Amino acid sequence: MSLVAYLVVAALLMVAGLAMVASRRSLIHVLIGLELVLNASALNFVAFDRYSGGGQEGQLAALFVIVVAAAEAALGLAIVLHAYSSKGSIRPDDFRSLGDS
Amino acid sequence: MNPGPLSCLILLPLLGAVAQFLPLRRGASRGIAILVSLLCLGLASWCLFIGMDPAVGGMQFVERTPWLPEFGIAWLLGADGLSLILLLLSSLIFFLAYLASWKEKRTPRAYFGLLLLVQVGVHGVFLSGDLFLFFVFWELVLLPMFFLIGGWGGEGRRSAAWKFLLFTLSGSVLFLIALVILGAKAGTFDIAALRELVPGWGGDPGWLGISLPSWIFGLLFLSFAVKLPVFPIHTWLPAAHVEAPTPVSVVLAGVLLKLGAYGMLRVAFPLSPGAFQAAAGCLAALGAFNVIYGAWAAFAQKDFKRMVAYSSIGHMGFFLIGFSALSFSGMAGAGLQLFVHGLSAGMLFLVVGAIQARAGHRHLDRLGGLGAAMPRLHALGLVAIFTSLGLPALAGFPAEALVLFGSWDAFPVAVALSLLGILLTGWFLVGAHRKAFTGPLPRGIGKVVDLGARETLVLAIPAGLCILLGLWPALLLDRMAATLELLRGGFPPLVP
Amino acid sequence: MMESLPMAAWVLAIPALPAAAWLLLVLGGRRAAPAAPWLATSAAALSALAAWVVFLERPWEGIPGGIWEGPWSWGFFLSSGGDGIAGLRATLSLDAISGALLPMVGTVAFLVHLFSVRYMRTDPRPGPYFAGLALFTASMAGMLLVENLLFFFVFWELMGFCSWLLIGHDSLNPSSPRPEAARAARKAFLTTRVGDLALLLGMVVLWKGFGTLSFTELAAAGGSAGSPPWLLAGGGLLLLGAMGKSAQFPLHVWLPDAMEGPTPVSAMIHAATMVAAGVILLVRSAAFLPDEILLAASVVGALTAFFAGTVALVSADLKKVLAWSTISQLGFMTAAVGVGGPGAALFHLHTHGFFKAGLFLAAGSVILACHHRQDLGGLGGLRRRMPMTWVATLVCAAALSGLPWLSGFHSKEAILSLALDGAALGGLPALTACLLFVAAALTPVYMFRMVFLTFHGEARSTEAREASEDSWLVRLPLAVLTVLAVVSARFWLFPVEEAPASEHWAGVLGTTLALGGVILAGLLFLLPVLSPAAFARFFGPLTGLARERWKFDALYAATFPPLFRLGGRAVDGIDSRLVDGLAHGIGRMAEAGGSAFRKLHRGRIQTYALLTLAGLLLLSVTLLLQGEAG
Repeated sequence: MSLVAYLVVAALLMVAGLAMVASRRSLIHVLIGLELVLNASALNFVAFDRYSGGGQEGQLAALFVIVVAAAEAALGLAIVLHAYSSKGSIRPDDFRSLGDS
Repeated sequence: MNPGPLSCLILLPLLGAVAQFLPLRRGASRGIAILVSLLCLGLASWCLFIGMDPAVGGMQFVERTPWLPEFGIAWLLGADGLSLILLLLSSLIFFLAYLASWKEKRTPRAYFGLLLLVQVGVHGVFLSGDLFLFFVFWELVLLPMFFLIGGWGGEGRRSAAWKFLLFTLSGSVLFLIALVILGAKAGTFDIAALRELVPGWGGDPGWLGISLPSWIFGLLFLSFAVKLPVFPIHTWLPAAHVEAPTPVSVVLAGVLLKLGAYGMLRVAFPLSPGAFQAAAGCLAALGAFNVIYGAWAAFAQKDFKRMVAYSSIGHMGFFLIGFSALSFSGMAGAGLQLFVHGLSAGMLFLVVGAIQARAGHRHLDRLGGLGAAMPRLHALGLVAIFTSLGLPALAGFPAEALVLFGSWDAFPVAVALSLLGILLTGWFLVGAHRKAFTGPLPRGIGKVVDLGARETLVLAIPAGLCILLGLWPALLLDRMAATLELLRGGFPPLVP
Repeated sequence: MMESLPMAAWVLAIPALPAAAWLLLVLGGRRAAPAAPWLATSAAALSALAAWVVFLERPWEGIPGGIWEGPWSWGFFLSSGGDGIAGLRATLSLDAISGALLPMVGTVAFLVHLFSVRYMRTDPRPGPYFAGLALFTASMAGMLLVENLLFFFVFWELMGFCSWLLIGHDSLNPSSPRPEAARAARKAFLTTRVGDLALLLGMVVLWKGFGTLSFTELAAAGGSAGSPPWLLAGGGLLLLGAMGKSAQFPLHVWLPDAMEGPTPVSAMIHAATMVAAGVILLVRSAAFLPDEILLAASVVGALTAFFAGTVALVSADLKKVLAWSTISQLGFMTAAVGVGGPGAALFHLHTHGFFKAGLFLAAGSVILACHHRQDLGGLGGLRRRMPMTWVATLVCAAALSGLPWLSGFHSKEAILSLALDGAALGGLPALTACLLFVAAALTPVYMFRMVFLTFHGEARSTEAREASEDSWLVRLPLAVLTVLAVVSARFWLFPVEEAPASEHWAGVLGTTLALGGVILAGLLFLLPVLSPAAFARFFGPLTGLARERWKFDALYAATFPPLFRLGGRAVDGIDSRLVDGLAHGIGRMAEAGGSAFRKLHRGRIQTYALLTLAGLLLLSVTLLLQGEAG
């Protein structure tokens, strides 16, 4: 298998994640979408590391991404919980206090 | 690091500002500010009159400590005759401003802290030998001033403060662009080194057919012109001066305008002498235009404070004319004008402030009779008015006469036209005196009390200096002569 | 260069003592006010004494160049070195001109001080008044004691300031302020300032041309310079300056209005200080002024002498008559410089100083006695009630009219003979001579009209009926000035130009005209032989024109202030609408841009995410395309 195949998979994952982030009606789904985006990048790191030869920087970065993703998920879920308890909803469209007018 | 006198001049007000965070007793804020400014005043006088060697034109008391050596940035301080004279002026003006703010009741800690921060910035600008440092201090002046106008000013303070901030920030942006170009190309921010380097970039094709030194000159001149101020980017000045509380107006007119002039003569002009000389005619024309324009605009004002504010525009025009002529007399006149305008405009603002405090307003048509009611204010006000309109034996005359004599060779038309400005200045100031001080007291004004001891002191110090300098301008001119010669040596003469 | 300290001390004392009195009064403020009259007066007395000592010693004689210099010199702009104007040094210097004039200035100033002690006794602000008077005296003395045009200008301007201050003195009176005084003061200051600024510019031009501003060096360089355009311009500007200060047509309008000041101040301004400055400037510059400018000076002077004389004929106010007569006499002096007689001009300045001061102080005595009544219509018959004042006025008026054996006769005759001499050239010099003779004929008419209307006939008001002469403080100055008006021509030491060909004729003609004028005035106003009203009718509209001061005041009032005010309003409008409007416009543009982008920020997180995605895509596509192109 060539590098391109991995990249294609990663790109698909990325697009799927972003599409979820942009379109789903629940903050939980948005968070899942974000996880997909992060995983796409992790996949890219590993793939490039494999094909560029030598060094473990890519794997290192992938591990780092996994850790960040875990932390992000925890933090994100906490925010979602707090949002639900304060507004009674987890629809992204209900949180617009930053918006103008 | 063992701080020299110049570092002390910057650190003292900084310490004073930091001290305002301490839990202070009532009245301690102003005490600290006055003490700090007195120390600064003493130190600046010592540097100017004793410490400095008047025969040396270049930087003295130099302190150099690497700060960000990777980018060629250093804590580089130095002072020559010109900067020390302006330092003396600013430490004096700040001292007077603190003294004039004696009765400030609205959060005095914040008020004095912010003013002290402005003083840090001003001293820093006058002492920096490193352009990056210069820029940092330049910016430091901005925000505290914004809050002072916006927080302690008159009715239209919000819009005036924003106007001040936006105008000066636009100037700063241009300064920043020039700074980035200089830093990237030269690899150092040392002004002395830049002065050697930048003129050599004339061969650089630049951009839009304008060579790089010309670009740098244009950017820097515009950014300093906002502060000077120069038509048509002066409209922040009347608004800010009028809305600011009296002591802040005094600082604005007395010191802040001088930052623009200092930036020009220290940075903008020497870095690209060729571009400056090519533009000198335009600058002198602009100066003469400012003289007439400012005087004429002041002529139409009914608000005494606004009138004084516009008169500043006219007076700063003389700086442009005198300096652009590049003759020793012209430059000496321009330098002296900076100091004298600081005194006279500051005094005029104090006089207006004293009037406003008693009459409750400062509309000239509704004032009158204050001369008989307040003989002290009247006497000191006369010194301010007549210094401002250039009466001989007061300090305004030697400055303006030197400018006129020194610029005649290069710009006879500008000199002749600026006389019209002097005539107009005399007209509206004498007219303002007539309206405010003579005749009967209007009904609306009850009993007025003359200046108290503190207010008298605040006005008497600059008044005494105006008379002293009018009789003996050599007191300051001796100190800056060598510096001016050195500065002038950087430019080939305009008139062979 | 004689450098004897005692003499230097005497010379220095002349300006320094009044200056010290001024300083003490200013620093003393209200506490010094009670002492002010006598402090200033004694300083003036000592200053006058020093002036007489210097006059008698004549230290400048026997020195090559004729200039005595003080042992001190003082770098004004730079304490040492310096080239160009910055290298200027000031010294105390004394020559025949200053030496000749100082006694007159000192004496008159002292007598004015003395008179003021009584005249201003009820004034609530003696401190500022006497401080101003002292500074005035010091400035005049200082102006005579410098040899450089720039320092001359310094004192010149200081005198302008002092006259502004003193003319406007009554406008600051706490109990009954007179706004007209402030207006008159402003008019005086601004009108003379036009001339002052012209002089400043003239100095710049002369500096450029000659490279010096020292009167001696200018005179030495001027002879060979011819009249290049710059010298014409510089000389013209200088003449303009002198015209402003000495109230010459068309810059004369301030002097009659300056009568708003207290009467002793008028005496000071008219006799000893302010207006003398212009004449002194012309005399000092006569050596280097080109002929064209001198010709202009003679024409201006003669015109002024004539024109002011006609106005004096119809003035209804005691002080105004004197003011216009001053303008007329200054015209004589200006014309004298023009016709080649600077010495004669100075001589007339000297004699005029004494008798004009006498006339003004006598007028002050009348005003004091009649409780500030000064319109000629309300006076009359004061001869018996105020004999001393009457004698003083009579003698001084006779001297001013140029009657024989009095001081004015000698000085006026010198001027008239020079003018007559020049008239042979025809053209403008002839016109000058004609105008001067007519003016000389007018002088006795208006002077004796004033004398007869004030002191003779019936008292025309209660104030005049009840008037009585005041204390010795009033009488002593009058007596001294009366004596001096007779004898002052005897102690004049500056050489007066002679015109041998016309001297005789001028004397005869001048005397005839003067006597004729006195007789005419007597027939008109003393004896009911001729009717003044019929005279006025005879001259028809000319009388009206003269009453309205030939309409110059109205013309100026209708042009300059509205013009400048209009300009001011225009600039202000441009500033607040156009320039500030531009700044506001830029601000509004930024705001509009902001509002446009605001539409994108509705707070929908997912819209933001989509936009991010779009941006990312755009970036990738751009990079891809660039990669392919490269």
